Amino acid sequence: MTNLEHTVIDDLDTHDTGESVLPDGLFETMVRASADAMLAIDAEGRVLFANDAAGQLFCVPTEVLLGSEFGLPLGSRDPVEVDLHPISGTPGVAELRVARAGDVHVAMLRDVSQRVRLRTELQQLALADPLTGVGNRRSFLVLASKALKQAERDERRCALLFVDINDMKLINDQHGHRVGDQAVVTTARMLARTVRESDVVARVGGDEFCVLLAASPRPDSLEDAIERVRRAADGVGRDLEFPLSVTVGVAVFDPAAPVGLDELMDRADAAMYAAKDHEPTDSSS
Amino acid sequence: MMDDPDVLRLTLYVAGRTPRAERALANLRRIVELELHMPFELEIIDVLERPDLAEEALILATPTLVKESPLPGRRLIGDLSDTHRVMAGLHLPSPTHSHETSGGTDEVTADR
Repeated sequence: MTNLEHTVIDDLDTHDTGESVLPDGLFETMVRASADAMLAIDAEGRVLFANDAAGQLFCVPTEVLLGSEFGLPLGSRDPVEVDLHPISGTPGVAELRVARAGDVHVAMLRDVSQRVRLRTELQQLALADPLTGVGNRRSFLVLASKALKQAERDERRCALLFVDINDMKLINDQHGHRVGDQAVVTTARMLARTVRESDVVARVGGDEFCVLLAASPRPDSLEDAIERVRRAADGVGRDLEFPLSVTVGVAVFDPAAPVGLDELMDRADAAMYAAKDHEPTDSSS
Repeated sequence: MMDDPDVLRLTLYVAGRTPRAERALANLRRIVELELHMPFELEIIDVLERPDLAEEALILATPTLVKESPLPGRRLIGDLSDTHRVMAGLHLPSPTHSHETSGGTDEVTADR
């Protein structure tokens, strides 16, 4: 404990709790000095008290928070993470713990933005293909499974595309592995640029990619999305100094006759090989 | 549009598609499907897409669930995982007591 802290506590009156002697005002001092944001909130969700750390967390003078309609914090001693939207300053993430004293809720918020940022980066590293930056096979299996379940729940169609780089061995043999890598990266960028944010793109093999075109409320948008990928795939080799083309196989997920991800990938793979044999067919589940 | 006093109007403010937002949305969907025995409208607002609406509503943290009507309005902050607390916070019958006649439901998801 520092000399300053000694001074503050020595200035306070003390009272006997029966077991130990605690100075009066100790707890208020602790709350005011806490590095964690603390807000006392009434049953209507209005802020009765906020400490200095709360003002700092939301980038406002503490007085601004007093009386504002913050809302009732839900939770317990087990923390839940919430996104922070300071009135000015950078958004962040905080751990929210809640305690209650009668009708008053006490919200305790600890800034964990840095920890969450690190965690997200680590997750992205573990799930990203290092050469192209798109998802790896593992991430595709997780995200595409979730997307299929969502599509089935929402009774909407979605599509899985298998995209294979043609003559990859020839590119490597004739132009070298550096150009081979360029072919892979160019294909990944073409796909990532073409799909929507809600879709999933992953490199699932050396020269193979999978795309999950997520369900959309607009029935015709799935066909539009597939067509957009096909057109972009047709032009993937444009302006390159080496020949690059890809073949696309499509399998559509029908919620009325749902199949698993493995089966859907097999169907898209088969459609891709059929297209390579100049028998372009789409497989619908 | 006239507000129907018998319809529960909820707005869920989230920030993008973070795990926090996804969890709250999943919990809320579970609650309205299993526990909410009355007509409702649910609007979802992504504060990253519509910071103006978040500012207007003075949303400082998300997920925040706002009960717009019937009055009194309520705001709940958290992942909505505790059904009892959500229902109590909205001034609705707790799940153990909610066995009234089911009403129709109407979900409205807006990109506003």
